Amino acid sequence: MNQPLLETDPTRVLDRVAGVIDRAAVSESDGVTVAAPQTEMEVSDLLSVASEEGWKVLPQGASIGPPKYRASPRGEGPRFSPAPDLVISLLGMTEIVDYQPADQNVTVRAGVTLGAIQSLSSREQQWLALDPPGGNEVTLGGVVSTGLSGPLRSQYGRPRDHVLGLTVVDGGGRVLSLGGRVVKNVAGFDLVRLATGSRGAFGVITEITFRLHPRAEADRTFVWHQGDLGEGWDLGRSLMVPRVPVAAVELLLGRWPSPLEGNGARIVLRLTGSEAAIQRTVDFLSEVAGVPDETFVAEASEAVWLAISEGLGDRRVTFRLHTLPSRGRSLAPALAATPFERLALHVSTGTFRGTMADGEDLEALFGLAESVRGLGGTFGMRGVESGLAIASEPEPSPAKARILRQLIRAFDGSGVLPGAWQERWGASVSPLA
Amino acid sequence: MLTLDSPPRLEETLARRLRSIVGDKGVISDPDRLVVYESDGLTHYRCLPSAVVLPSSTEEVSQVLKLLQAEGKDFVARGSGTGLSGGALPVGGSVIVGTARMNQILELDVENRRARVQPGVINAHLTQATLPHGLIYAPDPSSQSACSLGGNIAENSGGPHCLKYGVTTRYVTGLTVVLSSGDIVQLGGAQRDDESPDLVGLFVGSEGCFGIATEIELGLIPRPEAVRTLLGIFESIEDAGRAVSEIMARGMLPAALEIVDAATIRAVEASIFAAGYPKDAGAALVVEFDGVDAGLDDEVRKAADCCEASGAREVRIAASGEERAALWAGRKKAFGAMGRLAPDLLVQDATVPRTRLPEVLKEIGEIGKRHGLLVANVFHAGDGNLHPNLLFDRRDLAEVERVEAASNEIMAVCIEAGGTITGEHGVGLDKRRYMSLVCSDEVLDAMRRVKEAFDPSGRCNPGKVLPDLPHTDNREAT
Repeated sequence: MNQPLLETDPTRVLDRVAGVIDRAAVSESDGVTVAAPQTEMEVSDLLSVASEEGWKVLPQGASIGPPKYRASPRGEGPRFSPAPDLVISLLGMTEIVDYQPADQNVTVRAGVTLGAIQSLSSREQQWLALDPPGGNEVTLGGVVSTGLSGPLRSQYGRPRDHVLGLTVVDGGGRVLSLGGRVVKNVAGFDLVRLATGSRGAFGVITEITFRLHPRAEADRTFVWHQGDLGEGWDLGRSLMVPRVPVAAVELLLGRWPSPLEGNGARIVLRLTGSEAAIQRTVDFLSEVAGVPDETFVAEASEAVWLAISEGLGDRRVTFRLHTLPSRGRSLAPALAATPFERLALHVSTGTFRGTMADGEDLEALFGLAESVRGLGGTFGMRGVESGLAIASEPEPSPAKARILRQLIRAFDGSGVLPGAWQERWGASVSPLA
Repeated sequence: MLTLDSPPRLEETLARRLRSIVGDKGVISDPDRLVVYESDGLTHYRCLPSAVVLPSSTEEVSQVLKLLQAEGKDFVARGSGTGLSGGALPVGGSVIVGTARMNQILELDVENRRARVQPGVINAHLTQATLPHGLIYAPDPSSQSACSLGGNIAENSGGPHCLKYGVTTRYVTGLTVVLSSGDIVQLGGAQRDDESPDLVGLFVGSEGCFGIATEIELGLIPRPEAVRTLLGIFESIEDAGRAVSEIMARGMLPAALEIVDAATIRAVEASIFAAGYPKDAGAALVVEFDGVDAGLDDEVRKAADCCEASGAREVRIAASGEERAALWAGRKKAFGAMGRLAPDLLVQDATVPRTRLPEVLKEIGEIGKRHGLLVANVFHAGDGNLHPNLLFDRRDLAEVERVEAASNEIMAVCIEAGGTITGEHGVGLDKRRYMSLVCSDEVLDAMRRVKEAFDPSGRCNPGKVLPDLPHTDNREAT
């Protein structure tokens, strides 16, 4: 790994890939070969060839592709990020392998969408309790690979808490079946957790087994309109009392899609459970926050959260920051100075997400990044049209960087996967901090 | 019983240097006192450490491990010694690094619902500290009044209420870890939500093979407003298993679903822990719901209907805290009561898909009969985590052999049913031999390389988890 970045002949990539999988499943985009394998073995064959050739490989679901540039929020960039030689698209792997409603688990190929699973499992009054940015169109391979979660995280956890097992093809083409189909499993080191959220650093995820949850008897969403960000944040935090078990609570600002019309600050709170428990909780919340301005029930409640998920997933400039919830209020001035299009502040965890229109002054985000850094938090941003990405993560200690390097080598000795050739984590290059 | 070779005693020079780091009281090298550390909760395996070191801070752990590295000494981290897989066994003369003196709750951050603790803090003590603030630490292993949080991290411990709330790994947000080199590494942290790999998730459940966690950041959750508990009494364990499937199929998510079988009921009722379960019952099912008070009675009623539809001859619903404690008593005191049945027990920990429980339980019963062994089952039925207890007398070597044979057969049945070899106790020394039944050679190789990334010299809890050569050969291989 860490070979010098040599020019790869695109024609050779195309020819060799077409020798491994059906030519009809091979295409080209912006000069990069895109292969859409149908099976795990095809993924394995592709990675074996890539390993022989020393190509840079990018696994991809329904995503927007790699950034063209990376920059430091301190203004030292931007600079080019290397382009991949081969994109492995998982969009052709759309089989639902097995669904066991009685055991509340489902096994799918990586290209299956979140919407497909929700549609299937809803027939059995079950669901996959995840709502990452991007709505129902995101692929489950992408969700697990990025590890991204949404508002439901506060009650149901992140993708890593829903994945029971994975099949991963490592950088050398070896097929690794990790975990299993049972909810408790400590047989060996937790490689499922390592792969989840690692963005392809340790292998291409081809198959996933998820734990499903029963759908609650009732699902209600309540909205309180607020004057500004600060007031909204304070109200949201005041609702974070132990006796209120909320499924999700967000402070929204800016313009959001239907059914969240309007432009002001709003606290949006979701309760799931029995009718009686929800009514009791709403009575209590009304004492604290007043009677809700809007109420959404059942499918209408789901539609609100789908709108939030979709609103954060479309192809604009997106940014994400995280700090301790108790420190979130102090970011209000920096957030107010940001020309955001929409903001969603996850009140219970301190994770904030936002979007901006392309062409806006990205320098404004650097100030926000500095404020987050000052609080000890993390910040990340990417722009699709501009191709710019910023990651403000702390530089790992030498010992931690050594562990990351060794882990990447353990799964990708040839350095073909993104963990080896993308600028991340201080493993292959210094982090952008 | 497997008694491993006694180790050479620790050289006096090394002992003196360890004392200079942790103080005179922090080093135990007297063989009489070392006996306390010769096994963990799985007393099937015993072996003496060459010494026990008890540091009291991250810095002391770092200095100790640097010294042990310089001397080429293997080491094993140990919490309260309640583990059930031989994971803390100091094979080959390893030095035990105990966390008993690292028992401080360093920070209780109520506003952000998190705590920062040292690894020697007892699990139940954390919840005792958070309860006045309306918060709890959710994972509740059965040994929670004795087991340490550091041990829980190492084993990724579960517990009865993990059916609803999840196991330890869900609650660990950050770790300070000392590697075998003595380097101190910070992993994760509540302030961080970055895009780097989940090394915290990887470390949790690594059974002390990667390093020693010296500070732990944990998430806390609100204490449920109310709790309801019911007990279903069944003629057979298969009927109880069907009730579990019925409850889950109706979309309910109890906080706990625990089954106690006939042999266990008889043992409990004959002991000082008698809980009032009918002595002729085939099985008892404890079902617990928690959450907002309103609506819980409906949930309990629905669960009672499921029990009755599955053949329960009696359903008791606790009307008070005292009654609730009584319903739980038969479950919680089961292990203690088994001492009446036999002097020794080997507890298994396989997990199977919930729907396969009735048939797997039947096969376990038949395996016990075939080998002339008493098998008593107490387990987390909601998540299919079985705990068949094979009862025996270690002085009867023929019986010990039958226990080993039955144990292997039970494991094979569980794997055949789509399960795995351990749900919460860990692999340790005891289940290494089964690892190749659930992991391919490629996956085991990957696990070896992952261990090497943290512990290149292979001195950190050698001989555990991986089904390898004796640990000395394993070390040479790295």
